[in-house]
Amino acid sequence: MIKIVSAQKHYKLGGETVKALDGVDLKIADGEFVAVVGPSGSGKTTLMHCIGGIDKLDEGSIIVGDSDISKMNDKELSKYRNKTIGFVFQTFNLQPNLTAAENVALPLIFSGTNGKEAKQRAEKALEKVGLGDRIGHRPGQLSGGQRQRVSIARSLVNEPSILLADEPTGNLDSHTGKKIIKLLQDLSEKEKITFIVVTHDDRIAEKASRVIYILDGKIQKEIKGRKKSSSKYLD
Amino acid sequence: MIKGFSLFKIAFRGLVRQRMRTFLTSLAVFIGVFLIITMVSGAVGGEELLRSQFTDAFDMKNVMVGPKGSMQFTVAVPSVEEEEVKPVTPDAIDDLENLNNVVKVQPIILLSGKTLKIEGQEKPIKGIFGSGFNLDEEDRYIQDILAGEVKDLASREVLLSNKISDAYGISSDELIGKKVTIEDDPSSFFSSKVKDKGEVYTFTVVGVIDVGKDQNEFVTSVASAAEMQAIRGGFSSSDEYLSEIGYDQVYLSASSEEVVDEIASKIKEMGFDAMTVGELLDLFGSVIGIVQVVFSMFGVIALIVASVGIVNTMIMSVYERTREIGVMKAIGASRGDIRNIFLSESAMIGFVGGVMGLLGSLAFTGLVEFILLKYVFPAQNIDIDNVFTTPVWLMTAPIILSTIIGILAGLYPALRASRLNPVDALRYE
Repeated sequence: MIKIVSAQKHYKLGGETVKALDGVDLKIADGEFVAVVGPSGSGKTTLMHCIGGIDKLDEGSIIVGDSDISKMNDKELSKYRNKTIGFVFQTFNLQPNLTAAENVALPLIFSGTNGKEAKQRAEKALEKVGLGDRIGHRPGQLSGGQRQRVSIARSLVNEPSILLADEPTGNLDSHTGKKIIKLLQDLSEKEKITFIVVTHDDRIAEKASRVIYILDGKIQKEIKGRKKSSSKYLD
Repeated sequence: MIKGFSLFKIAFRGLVRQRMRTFLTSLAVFIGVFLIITMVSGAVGGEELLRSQFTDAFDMKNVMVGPKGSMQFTVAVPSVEEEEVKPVTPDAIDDLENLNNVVKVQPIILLSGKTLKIEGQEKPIKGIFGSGFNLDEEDRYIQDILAGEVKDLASREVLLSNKISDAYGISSDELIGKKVTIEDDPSSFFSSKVKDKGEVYTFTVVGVIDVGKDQNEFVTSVASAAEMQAIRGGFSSSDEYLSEIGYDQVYLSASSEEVVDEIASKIKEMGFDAMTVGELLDLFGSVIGIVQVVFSMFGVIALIVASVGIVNTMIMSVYERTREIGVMKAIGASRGDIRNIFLSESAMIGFVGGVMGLLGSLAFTGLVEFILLKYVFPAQNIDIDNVFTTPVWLMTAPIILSTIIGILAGLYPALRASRLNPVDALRYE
């Protein structure tokens, strides 16, 4: 269970103070598939970063399970990001000098797992996303869709309870994007992870069990349940 | 925290990404370590050479004895200008002989700054050095005699060095049986302690020896030398001379190397100066040690310059990988992990540069030594069998140093990397 209470986050931009999050209250239950939508600068990415422990709130708190992550120190946050959270980025963000398996193994390496075990678990994770035959390839040898799969495998390898994805289909063509969405949906159902996806992509929004619409740092509205594709989610 | 080997794998891949840059940075380290090892190898090799020549020339069982102040280079002997210097008299020689573990005592009288005239030759030789000591059959001079045959030196018999026969352009055999006169050379820097009363002393040449350093030298017996000094100094007899002035030096042989230090301190208690070959070598060693340090300075300075290059490379690397660092933090790398990754990279640069420097130096010194020993030295008739010596400590210490320098140089960039804010880092293009 994720509980966000009166979250405030502002930053200075060229002398002006911008309110990225202006009093957000939100509850997300375990295993929910949530899509967060909104225009650029609405605060959706900031919200995701704060839930993921990458960014810190100025006021308010985020309680994940039993812990208030807004009170965590740097060391605790590292551990939180490593074990509780999985990140998927729009630009994949893989290390070009490591193979697919080595990339996926990184979170395990950072949690102190030895090389051999990490490799085995990484290979299993790659098989889960359908890339069992690409474990030795470098990102440069993979297509966009394959890279995103590696990224997803990496985010899952440490068995996190929350998966955060920032525009996962943003850099993919529509065909590949569709496949990735399917993958995410399958994983969401199978792995019982809380999925929070920031997206412009209708197709994701329609697969979500809940869509949260953010504007100017505040939640405008929430729509529950799965509906057919329609831009009325975003206006 | 990253465990063990994985850290090095990640760091290694990070370096391999920018192959040229990594190579050039460690090239500077290579130069530094190469210089250190090569130059200090030369110094160590030179030291070994000198030491072996030393121990060839000097027996480790020997102690050199002299009146106080005669061996000024022994440290910690206070100035004895005011005190009366105790002469090394024949009685003192007896005392020395009576010391425990003393096998042989050889008193020596030094005769310097003389002029030598040979029967049948016009020109005298100036600036000749001589000594009077008791030779026996086993002495090297008698064993390796170049001309003539001697068992021991009787009164007024003398051995001349082959440089003298060379100087006159005659063969060594021609010198045998000739009379030589030895006079004080007033213009010489090394005038005798004893005022020359004008007597000319005549010897017969009985042999020609190789004194090894091509010096104008002559060797006679102690008795002859004492007699000569006594006559020229206006003493009534050799005994008087010896009681007042005494011997100039004594070479003392001990029964074994282990007892020399004990004997030396007893002799010092007796009121004389004593120096063991060991002490001489130590003195020599400390000078050589300084030389080695100075030699290593070139390479050390190069390493310091190289470290600046490492700092620069790492700062650039961190900057370029800002986003990557943000991602690593996002997937759970701690500050320590990030720091350790970059520190490992800079340490590797230092280490690899160091190993390359070692290999390069071994190859270089090996090649140079080979060429010198095989071609150059034999052609020049130089009898040296070793040029470079690279002991194990010289192989390992510079590499450890270069690795540490790599770590230190990478510290600032690594800490900067570890402190990056993940959000800002991720925003980077």
